[in-house]
Amino acid sequence: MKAMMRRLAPWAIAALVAAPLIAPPNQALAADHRETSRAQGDPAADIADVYAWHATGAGTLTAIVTYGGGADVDRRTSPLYDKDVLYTINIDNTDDSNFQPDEQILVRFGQNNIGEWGIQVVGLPGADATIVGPVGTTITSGTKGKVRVGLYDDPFFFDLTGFKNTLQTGTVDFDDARDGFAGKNVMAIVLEMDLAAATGGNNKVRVWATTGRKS
Amino acid sequence: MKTQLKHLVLALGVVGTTLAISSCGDDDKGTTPQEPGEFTFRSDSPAQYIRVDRMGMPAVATALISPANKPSYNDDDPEDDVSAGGKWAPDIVSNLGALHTALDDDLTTLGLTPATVTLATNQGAPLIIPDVLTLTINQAAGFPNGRRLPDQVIDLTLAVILLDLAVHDVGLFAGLPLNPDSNDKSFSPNFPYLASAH
Repeated sequence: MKAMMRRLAPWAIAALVAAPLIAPPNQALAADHRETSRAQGDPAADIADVYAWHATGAGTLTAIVTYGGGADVDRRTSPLYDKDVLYTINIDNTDDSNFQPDEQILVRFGQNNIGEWGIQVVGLPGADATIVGPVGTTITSGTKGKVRVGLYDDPFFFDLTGFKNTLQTGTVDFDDARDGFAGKNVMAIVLEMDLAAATGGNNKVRVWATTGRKS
Repeated sequence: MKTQLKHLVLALGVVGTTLAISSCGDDDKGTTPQEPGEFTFRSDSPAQYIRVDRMGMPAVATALISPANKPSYNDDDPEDDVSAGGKWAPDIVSNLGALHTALDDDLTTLGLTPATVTLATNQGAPLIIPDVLTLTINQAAGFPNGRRLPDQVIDLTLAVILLDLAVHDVGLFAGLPLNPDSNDKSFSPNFPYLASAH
């Protein structure tokens, strides 16, 4: 495998040198971390990645939205919660090609009288209409519903340094052992829900996330 | 007499106030620890929030949408992606074309068969237009059928948009790999699945 990788080195050079055609050097070819100036200035609303997978045996669908991360920022060492940001996880489960959400899970953060942070989840399929609990703990609802938010290792992996170096120098510096997101943390909203409720019993499901800020 | 009565009333008032204050506290100092109370959240409707970001598939907005278009792209929804025959398709195809113009000679030299821009578009479009993660429930989970934490999404995406998949396996780059093939910390098999913070 390594030999084949070395044979592909010219390809890697070309790919990385060509990359400015589609991404300026100051922007990471990352999943979505800090991809616009607007998002860069608003880390609490800057989606890093969206994950969604199903487990038919367990009868669950899991969705994770990460935010406030990035390989080109200092490691986040404390959690980040903002009461003015709305996180929406959209699910289109009817395969009707309108790509409009049939289910919307709304996530907000808020505080109590002594400044502790809590999470509110509205619309988690198969669970209570509204779920509220403290951050940093697993909150359960219904038979399959689980909610948790906190600071975690950034699960994304990618050679960002090699990408940037090659863009700047034209000399390949691409290393599959170098992970630009190693050692980085990111905030993560983790939602698990009843698969049948999330899909409406249908076979095709589409998932995406948005963030909005209330000024 | 009136003066004495007034003083008595005032004195009783002071005592009553003192007793009332003392009775509030549950410690010897008479202070009142604040109850945490319930969490309070904004109740504004989603329409009252101003969009900041959106995401479905990894790397689409970052790599295949021109920088000048990204704010507008984030403001849109998947239904906009497919409007007018693909609102953002011209930008995506243009960037794919530029990529192939630069890379196809090198791919060919290496014995690989690059996709034509049309083929790359046809291979990639179902995955990236609209910008959503698609899950087919009766098939095994794993990118591009949804996205699990350990999936090598960048190498797989590069294969889809660069290689003729009638000739090459979609897992060619991931098998090398071009990028790291796993996270720096192990994921958990149990909820919440993520590795602990550094």
